[in-house]
Amino acid sequence: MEQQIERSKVLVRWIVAVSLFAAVAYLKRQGQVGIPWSTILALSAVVAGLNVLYGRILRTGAPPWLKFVTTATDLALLSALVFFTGGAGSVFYFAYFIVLVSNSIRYGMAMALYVATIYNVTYVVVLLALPVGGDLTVEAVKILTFWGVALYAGYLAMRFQRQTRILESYEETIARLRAELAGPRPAK
Amino acid sequence: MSDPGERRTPTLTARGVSWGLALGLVLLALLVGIAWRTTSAAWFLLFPLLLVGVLFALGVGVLWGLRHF
Repeated sequence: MEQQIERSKVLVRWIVAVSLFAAVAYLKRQGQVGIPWSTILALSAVVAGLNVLYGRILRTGAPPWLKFVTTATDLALLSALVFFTGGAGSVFYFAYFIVLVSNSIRYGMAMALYVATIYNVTYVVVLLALPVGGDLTVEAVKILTFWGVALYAGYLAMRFQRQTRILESYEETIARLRAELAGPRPAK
Repeated sequence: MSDPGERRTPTLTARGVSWGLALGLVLLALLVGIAWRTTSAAWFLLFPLLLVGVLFALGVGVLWGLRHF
Protein backbone atom coordinates (compact mmCIF):
# COMPACT_ATOMS: atom_id res chain seq x y z
CA MET A 1 0.00 0.00 0.00
CA GLU A 2 2.68 2.48 1.07
CA GLN A 3 4.80 1.47 -1.92
CA GLN A 4 1.89 2.26 -4.23
CA ILE A 5 1.30 5.64 -2.58
CA GLU A 6 4.98 6.61 -2.77
CA ARG A 7 5.14 5.54 -6.42
CA SER A 8 2.18 7.77 -7.14
CA LYS A 9 3.96 10.60 -5.28
CA VAL A 10 7.03 10.09 -7.50
CA LEU A 11 4.83 10.61 -10.57
CA VAL A 12 3.13 13.67 -9.06
CA ARG A 13 6.55 15.05 -8.08
CA TRP A 14 7.68 14.88 -11.74
CA ILE A 15 4.55 16.75 -12.85
CA VAL A 16 4.85 19.42 -10.13
CA ALA A 17 8.61 19.82 -10.68
CA VAL A 18 8.17 20.32 -14.43
CA SER A 19 5.30 22.78 -13.84
CA LEU A 20 7.30 24.76 -11.31
CA PHE A 21 10.37 24.75 -13.57
CA ALA A 22 8.25 26.10 -16.45
CA ALA A 23 6.71 28.76 -14.20
CA VAL A 24 10.07 29.88 -12.76
CA ALA A 25 11.67 29.94 -16.23
CA TYR A 26 8.77 32.03 -17.61
CA LEU A 27 8.89 34.51 -14.69
CA LYS A 28 12.67 34.71 -15.01
CA ARG A 29 12.39 35.55 -18.73
CA GLN A 30 9.79 38.19 -17.87
CA GLY A 31 12.17 39.62 -15.27
CA GLN A 32 9.69 39.10 -12.42
CA VAL A 33 11.94 36.89 -10.28
CA GLY A 34 15.61 37.46 -9.58
CA ILE A 35 16.65 33.83 -9.19
CA PRO A 36 19.81 32.99 -11.21
CA TRP A 37 19.63 30.32 -13.94
CA SER A 38 22.34 28.33 -12.17
CA THR A 39 20.12 28.08 -9.05
CA ILE A 40 17.06 27.10 -11.12
CA LEU A 41 19.06 24.33 -12.79
CA ALA A 42 20.65 23.21 -9.50
CA LEU A 43 17.25 22.96 -7.75
CA SER A 44 15.77 21.10 -10.74
CA ALA A 45 18.74 18.70 -10.77
CA VAL A 46 18.33 17.98 -7.04
CA VAL A 47 14.58 17.30 -7.43
CA ALA A 48 15.20 15.06 -10.44
CA GLY A 49 18.05 13.23 -8.71
CA LEU A 50 16.05 12.60 -5.54
CA ASN A 51 13.02 11.48 -7.54
CA VAL A 52 15.11 8.96 -9.47
CA LEU A 53 16.60 7.74 -6.17
CA TYR A 54 13.13 7.35 -4.59
CA GLY A 55 11.95 5.48 -7.69
CA ARG A 56 14.87 3.05 -7.34
CA ILE A 57 14.24 2.49 -3.63
CA LEU A 58 10.58 1.81 -4.39
CA ARG A 59 11.41 -0.99 -6.85
CA THR A 60 12.12 -3.35 -3.97
CA GLY A 61 9.63 -1.97 -1.42
CA ALA A 62 8.80 1.04 0.70
CA PRO A 63 10.81 1.38 3.93
CA PRO A 64 8.71 2.90 6.74
CA TRP A 65 10.95 5.98 6.93
CA LEU A 66 10.66 6.82 3.24
CA LYS A 67 7.41 8.79 3.42
CA PHE A 68 8.86 11.08 6.09
CA VAL A 69 12.09 11.63 4.14
CA THR A 70 10.32 12.35 0.82
CA THR A 71 7.95 14.81 2.51
CA ALA A 72 10.76 16.59 4.36
CA THR A 73 12.91 16.92 1.22
CA ASP A 74 9.91 18.18 -0.78
CA LEU A 75 9.27 20.89 1.81
CA ALA A 76 12.97 21.78 2.11
CA LEU A 77 13.35 22.17 -1.67
CA LEU A 78 10.16 24.18 -1.87
CA SER A 79 11.46 26.44 0.89
CA ALA A 80 14.67 26.91 -1.11
CA LEU A 81 12.55 27.93 -4.12
CA VAL A 82 10.50 30.31 -1.96
CA PHE A 83 13.73 31.77 -0.54
CA PHE A 84 15.29 32.39 -3.97
CA THR A 85 12.10 33.87 -5.42
CA GLY A 86 11.49 36.53 -2.81
CA GLY A 87 10.90 34.85 0.56
CA ALA A 88 7.63 35.87 2.22
CA GLY A 89 6.41 37.56 -0.98
CA SER A 90 7.23 34.61 -3.25
CA VAL A 91 4.57 33.61 -5.75
CA PHE A 92 5.52 29.96 -5.11
CA TYR A 93 4.43 30.07 -1.46
CA PHE A 94 1.14 28.38 -2.40
CA ALA A 95 3.00 25.28 -3.61
CA TYR A 96 3.38 24.33 0.08
CA PHE A 97 -0.32 23.45 0.01
CA ILE A 98 0.25 20.88 -2.76
CA VAL A 99 2.62 18.96 -0.47
CA LEU A 100 0.23 19.34 2.46
CA VAL A 101 -2.92 18.15 0.71
CA SER A 102 -1.14 15.40 -1.24
CA ASN A 103 0.32 13.85 1.93
CA SER A 104 -2.53 14.50 4.37
CA ILE A 105 -5.19 12.91 2.18
CA ARG A 106 -2.99 9.88 1.58
CA TYR A 107 -1.64 9.25 5.08
CA GLY A 108 -4.03 10.96 7.53
CA MET A 109 -3.79 13.18 10.59
CA ALA A 110 -0.33 12.14 11.81
CA MET A 111 1.20 13.03 8.45
CA ALA A 112 -0.76 16.31 8.34
CA LEU A 113 0.80 17.28 11.68
CA TYR A 114 4.24 16.21 10.43
CA VAL A 115 3.89 18.29 7.23
CA ALA A 116 2.68 21.33 9.18
CA THR A 117 5.59 21.05 11.64
CA ILE A 118 8.24 20.71 8.91
CA TYR A 119 6.62 23.58 6.96
CA ASN A 120 6.59 25.70 10.14
CA VAL A 121 10.31 25.11 10.73
CA THR A 122 11.46 25.53 7.10
CA TYR A 123 9.33 28.64 6.52
CA VAL A 124 10.69 30.25 9.69
CA VAL A 125 14.20 29.51 8.38
CA VAL A 126 13.23 31.33 5.15
CA LEU A 127 11.88 34.28 7.19
CA LEU A 128 15.05 34.41 9.28
CA ALA A 129 17.28 34.23 6.20
CA LEU A 130 15.27 36.87 4.34
CA PRO A 131 13.73 39.06 7.06
CA VAL A 132 10.48 40.84 6.28
CA GLY A 133 11.16 43.58 8.80
CA GLY A 134 8.68 45.33 11.03
CA ASP A 135 5.35 43.75 11.82
CA LEU A 136 5.26 39.96 11.42
CA THR A 137 1.53 39.49 12.08
CA VAL A 138 0.83 38.68 8.41
CA GLU A 139 3.47 35.95 8.47
CA ALA A 140 2.05 34.55 11.71
CA VAL A 141 -1.41 34.45 10.12
CA LYS A 142 0.03 32.66 7.07
CA ILE A 143 1.61 30.00 9.28
CA LEU A 144 -1.52 29.60 11.41
CA THR A 145 -3.69 29.35 8.29
CA PHE A 146 -1.45 26.56 7.04
CA TRP A 147 -1.92 24.80 10.39
CA GLY A 148 -5.69 25.24 10.09
CA VAL A 149 -5.74 23.70 6.62
CA ALA A 150 -3.45 20.87 7.83
CA LEU A 151 -5.72 20.04 10.76
CA TYR A 152 -8.85 20.14 8.61
CA ALA A 153 -7.29 17.99 5.85
CA GLY A 154 -6.04 15.55 8.50
CA TYR A 155 -9.50 15.38 10.08
CA LEU A 156 -11.17 14.72 6.71
CA ALA A 157 -8.60 12.03 5.90
CA MET A 158 -9.22 10.44 9.31
CA ARG A 159 -12.97 10.33 8.66
CA PHE A 160 -12.41 8.91 5.19
CA GLN A 161 -10.09 6.21 6.58
CA ARG A 162 -12.67 5.26 9.23
CA GLN A 163 -15.41 4.97 6.61
CA THR A 164 -13.13 2.84 4.41
CA ARG A 165 -12.47 0.48 7.34
CA ILE A 166 -16.23 0.18 8.03
CA LEU A 167 -16.85 -0.55 4.35
CA GLU A 168 -14.12 -3.21 4.37
CA SER A 169 -15.66 -4.90 7.39
CA TYR A 170 -19.07 -4.90 5.66
CA GLU A 171 -17.51 -6.48 2.58
CA GLU A 172 -15.85 -9.15 4.74
CA THR A 173 -19.15 -9.91 6.48
CA ILE A 174 -20.98 -10.17 3.15
CA ALA A 175 -18.27 -12.48 1.77
CA ARG A 176 -18.44 -14.68 4.91
CA LEU A 177 -22.23 -14.92 4.78
CA ARG A 178 -22.10 -15.79 1.07
CA ALA A 179 -19.56 -18.52 1.78
CA GLU A 180 -21.79 -19.88 4.57
CA LEU A 181 -24.82 -19.92 2.29
CA ALA A 182 -22.91 -21.60 -0.54
CA GLY A 183 -21.41 -24.25 1.76
CA PRO A 184 -22.95 -27.65 2.61
CA ARG A 185 -26.17 -27.41 4.62
CA PRO A 186 -26.68 -29.67 7.60
CA ALA A 187 -29.12 -32.54 6.91
CA LYS A 188 -32.52 -32.27 8.61
CA MET B 1 -7.91 -6.19 48.68
CA SER B 2 -6.42 -5.16 45.38
CA ASP B 3 -3.19 -6.63 44.08
CA PRO B 4 -0.30 -4.25 44.97
CA GLY B 5 1.33 -4.99 41.59
CA GLU B 6 -1.81 -4.08 39.72
CA ARG B 7 -1.64 -0.76 37.84
CA ARG B 8 -4.42 1.70 38.50
CA THR B 9 -6.17 3.03 35.44
CA PRO B 10 -5.63 6.80 35.37
CA THR B 11 -8.94 8.61 35.72
CA LEU B 12 -9.74 12.12 34.63
CA THR B 13 -11.01 14.30 37.46
CA ALA B 14 -12.86 17.62 37.20
CA ARG B 15 -9.89 19.25 38.93
CA GLY B 16 -7.44 17.82 36.35
CA VAL B 17 -9.63 18.98 33.46
CA SER B 18 -9.89 22.48 34.98
CA TRP B 19 -6.10 22.73 35.25
CA GLY B 20 -5.78 21.42 31.69
CA LEU B 21 -8.25 24.01 30.42
CA ALA B 22 -6.44 26.79 32.28
CA LEU B 23 -3.13 25.66 30.77
CA GLY B 24 -4.76 25.52 27.31
CA LEU B 25 -6.00 29.09 27.68
CA VAL B 26 -2.54 30.26 28.79
CA LEU B 27 -0.99 28.58 25.76
CA LEU B 28 -3.64 30.18 23.51
CA ALA B 29 -2.89 33.61 24.97
CA LEU B 30 0.83 32.99 24.38
CA LEU B 31 0.12 31.93 20.79
CA VAL B 32 -1.96 35.02 20.06
CA GLY B 33 0.61 37.23 21.82
CA ILE B 34 3.47 35.86 19.71
CA ALA B 35 1.45 36.15 16.49
CA TRP B 36 0.46 39.73 17.29
CA ARG B 37 3.50 41.32 18.88
CA THR B 38 6.67 39.47 17.95
CA THR B 39 9.37 41.12 15.89
CA SER B 40 11.46 37.98 15.43
CA ALA B 41 10.31 35.08 13.26
CA ALA B 42 12.24 32.68 15.50
CA TRP B 43 9.33 32.82 17.99
CA PHE B 44 7.14 31.15 15.35
CA LEU B 45 9.12 27.97 15.98
CA LEU B 46 7.04 27.60 19.15
CA PHE B 47 3.79 27.39 17.16
CA PRO B 48 3.75 23.58 16.75
CA LEU B 49 4.12 23.05 20.52
CA LEU B 50 1.63 25.76 21.43
CA LEU B 51 -0.98 24.67 18.88
CA VAL B 52 -0.82 21.00 19.80
CA GLY B 53 -0.99 21.94 23.49
CA VAL B 54 -3.99 24.23 22.98
CA LEU B 55 -5.86 21.69 20.84
CA PHE B 56 -5.17 18.85 23.28
CA ALA B 57 -6.22 20.84 26.35
CA LEU B 58 -9.35 22.31 24.74
CA GLY B 59 -10.24 18.95 23.16
CA VAL B 60 -10.08 17.19 26.53
CA GLY B 61 -12.14 20.02 28.07
CA VAL B 62 -14.84 19.85 25.40
CA LEU B 63 -15.05 16.04 25.54
CA TRP B 64 -15.26 16.22 29.35
CA GLY B 65 -18.06 18.78 29.03
CA LEU B 66 -19.89 16.44 26.66
CA ARG B 67 -19.47 13.61 29.22
CA HIS B 68 -17.36 11.56 26.82
CA PHE B 69 -15.08 10.23 29.62
